[in-house]
Amino acid sequence: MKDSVIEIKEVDKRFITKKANLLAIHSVNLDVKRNEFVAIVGPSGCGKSTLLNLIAGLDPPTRGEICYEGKPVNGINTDVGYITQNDTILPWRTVEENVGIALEIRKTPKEVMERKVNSYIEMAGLQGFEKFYPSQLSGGMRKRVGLIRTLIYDPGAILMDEPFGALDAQLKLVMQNELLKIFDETRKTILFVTHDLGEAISLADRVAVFSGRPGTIKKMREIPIPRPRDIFKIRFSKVFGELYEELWDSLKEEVSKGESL
Amino acid sequence: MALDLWKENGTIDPLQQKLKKKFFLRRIRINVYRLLFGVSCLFLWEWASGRWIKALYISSPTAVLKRFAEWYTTGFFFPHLSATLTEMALGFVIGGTLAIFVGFVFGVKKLWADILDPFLIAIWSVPGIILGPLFILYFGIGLTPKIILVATTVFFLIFFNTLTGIREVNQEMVDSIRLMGASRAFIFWKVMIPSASTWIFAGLKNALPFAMIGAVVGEMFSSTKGIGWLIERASGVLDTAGVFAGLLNLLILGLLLNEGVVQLETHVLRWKTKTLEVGL
Repeated sequence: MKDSVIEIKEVDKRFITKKANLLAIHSVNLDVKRNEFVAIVGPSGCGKSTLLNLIAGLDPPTRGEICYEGKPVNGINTDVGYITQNDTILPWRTVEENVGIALEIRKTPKEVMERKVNSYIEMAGLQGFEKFYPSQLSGGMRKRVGLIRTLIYDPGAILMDEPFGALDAQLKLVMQNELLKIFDETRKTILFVTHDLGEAISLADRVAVFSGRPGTIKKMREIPIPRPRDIFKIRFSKVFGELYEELWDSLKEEVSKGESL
Repeated sequence: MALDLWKENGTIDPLQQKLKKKFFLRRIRINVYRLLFGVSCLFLWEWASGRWIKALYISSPTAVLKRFAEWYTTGFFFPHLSATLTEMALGFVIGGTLAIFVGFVFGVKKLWADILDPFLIAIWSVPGIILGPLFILYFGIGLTPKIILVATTVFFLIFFNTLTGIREVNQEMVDSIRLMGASRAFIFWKVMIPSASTWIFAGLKNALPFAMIGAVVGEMFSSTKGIGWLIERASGVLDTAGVFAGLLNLLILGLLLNEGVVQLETHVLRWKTKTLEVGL
């Protein structure tokens, strides 16, 4: 039995504003084990991102408890890396300055930092673009910068909120493939949020289906596809099709529920 | 710049060269027409002076240029230029620094900003220039009242821009850096300030002409030197050429200062790529 990195126990999150009182997520229970890749899939607006914000400590839960490495999360959780859907790389920094920012914060010696930055830039295939500003890069390149600036400081766990949501279909596959490669090599603990069921199945060890508002985990499924996986092939395998069908059955009610809102 | 850098293997794209050439030719054409327009205006002025309108009212380009040259060759002008420049520079630096500082504080301390908001708006809507006579009453007719007048005129323009800049900082960006374990100081210096710099520069650029207005109008109220005093004195003795020569100096000064800020801006904000603004 592997130990848990992230434990979510009976968590509710309610947002109260002047106009609305919204129960965003309701009684969520989830354990993410060490070196495990868990994907959460659900319709848009079901509170998936809210859950990640709670784990990152950007927001406290209304009820229940979130533990990270056995300790309750209280305030900003600097042990996790968080990759959001929107670009949050700094536009006034060059690629290498963006990639090295976490090391700069940690006051890593310059030579070590340079070496690390270069090796990660190489890994992401961004050689030659070290001195470029984000505005001079394509969307896919910016995503890769966002990815490696988090990987470089080796956070205990990585939260990803639809990181490839804004990319076109082909680029998305390429990025997923790179993420799979990185995961196979480094075996990070990853919690990945998406609304794309195919993406969830291709990448994860376990997939959690989230219900529509208030969001809660409706179904949890192991994905018994062996690693290393080839993103371009597994989609046509039998087991992928069966899993897709099974999970889609449970997801589609939620999607149509969301439509009628 | 984006186009320059787009080709990933570093070769030169013929299409790109064509675009560059087109852009270059367009610049030349614009400049030629500008020159033509300016020169014809001057000719018209010269011709009209003394024929259509009395030279006493509008002087003439040659008379203005002669006066202008006199001022510089005799050295008569330099004490006045230096007085105006000193007032502008000190006022701009004092007012600007204060504005950026207060802008940041209010940007971070939302409660303070909310409490003082109506007062700030009220003071802002009063043209600061009106305070000129008061400052002269308080501080005499030396440089000090003009410096303070310049500082108050530029303060609000820069302050409101800084405040907006801080409020526009992308919270998601700040959170992502905080999650990496950044200190508050790091967030402030490496995220908030660069992020607000676009707004701050826009404020500085807008405030520059007002710094000149503040200094010159202050001198016109009451003083013993400065470009404003020169213009005021010239108009008092019906010396139109002197008035225009003073204006010409202000014009050149304004252009030079603006160019300086633009240069500084393109350097500091070099991460904002500008694409060539012309189609193929």
